[in-house]
Amino acid sequence: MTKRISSATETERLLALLAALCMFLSLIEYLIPKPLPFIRLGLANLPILISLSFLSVRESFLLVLLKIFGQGLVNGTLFSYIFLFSLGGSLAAGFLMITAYHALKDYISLLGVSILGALGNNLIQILLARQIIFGKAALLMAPPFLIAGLLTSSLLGLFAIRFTESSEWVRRHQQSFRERTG
Amino acid sequence: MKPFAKLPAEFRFWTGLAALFPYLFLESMILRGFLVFYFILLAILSGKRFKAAPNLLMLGGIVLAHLFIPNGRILWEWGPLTLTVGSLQNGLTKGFLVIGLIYLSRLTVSPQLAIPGRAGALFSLTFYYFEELSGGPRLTRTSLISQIDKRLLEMDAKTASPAPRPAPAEGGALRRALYLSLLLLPVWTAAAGERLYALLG
Repeated sequence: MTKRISSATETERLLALLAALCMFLSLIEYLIPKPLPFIRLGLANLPILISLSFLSVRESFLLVLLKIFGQGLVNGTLFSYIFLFSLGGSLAAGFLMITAYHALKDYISLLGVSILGALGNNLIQILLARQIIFGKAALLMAPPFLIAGLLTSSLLGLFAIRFTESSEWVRRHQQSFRERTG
Repeated sequence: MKPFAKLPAEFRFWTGLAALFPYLFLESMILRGFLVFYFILLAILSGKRFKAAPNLLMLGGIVLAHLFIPNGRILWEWGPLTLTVGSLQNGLTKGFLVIGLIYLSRLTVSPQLAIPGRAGALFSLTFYYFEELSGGPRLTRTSLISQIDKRLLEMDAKTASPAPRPAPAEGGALRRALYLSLLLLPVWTAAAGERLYALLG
């Protein structure tokens, strides 16, 4: 069932590496001390942000799905509510980020894209929390949750901008994408 | 002692799936609570990690949220919080469901699960890169961008190395039969017992 790297296409290798980076950064995030346990930095979204400039729309969506199911398999949470929240939140965030980047490329930076993604993610998760676990009490948690999301996504967006400007790896793949798409 | 740590991933998957549905539809708080502890024990015997604090925090949070929706006999009041029997039961029932599903899912699913076709090959490659990234030197806060960049460039260079094979599974027929009965018997007994009680009650 395992496939040799050499026989995978370049796009498959790139998607697999980006998805693996999502999972790796998610692991790193657990090690970072946070002021409140429910606050997430969203580091796992960094590869999605930095790859928007060298993946097509279809490839970006595939990356989002790989990230969701990969995390579910590694953490073993595929059949838990955690996966459902991850699925809903990540799909909403992915849709907003990919659409915003490709539709508004000249008007929005990765900072704006990151904030939109966090907003989508958090709103869907609040809805799911309301329907499945917490009932109306979920709405009480919404304001601090959304504010925390705004702050952390802003930091992530700024970091993503610095990363894409400084990274040799990103530059190579942007160049490769330009050659691929003419 | 981890007697079930190396059972085949596909066997775990189908066994876990068979336990998932009856557990999902259980209504009794006590039965769900018992099964949570049971799943945690089985998960530890299967080599999974367990930390009490995050689970207690999660349970506490879910129960607290339900206390804002009073239901039934009042036990205690303090400011906006009214502790009622119904809300406590609802919170605990929901909390046990969430935590129980996490550990049942961990028993059921693992990265060694062979997914067929192109999707399976892509996941295999993803886990290979994940292991390579995780196995490298620890990232430090200084020059974080250049550390991540360097690691990505190294991964790009790995075009000729074969993806590793998953670790061979162990577990003879007796061990599998033991695992099967330990996981399925309590869950199905609880589910059948609850239905019977409801029919006769």
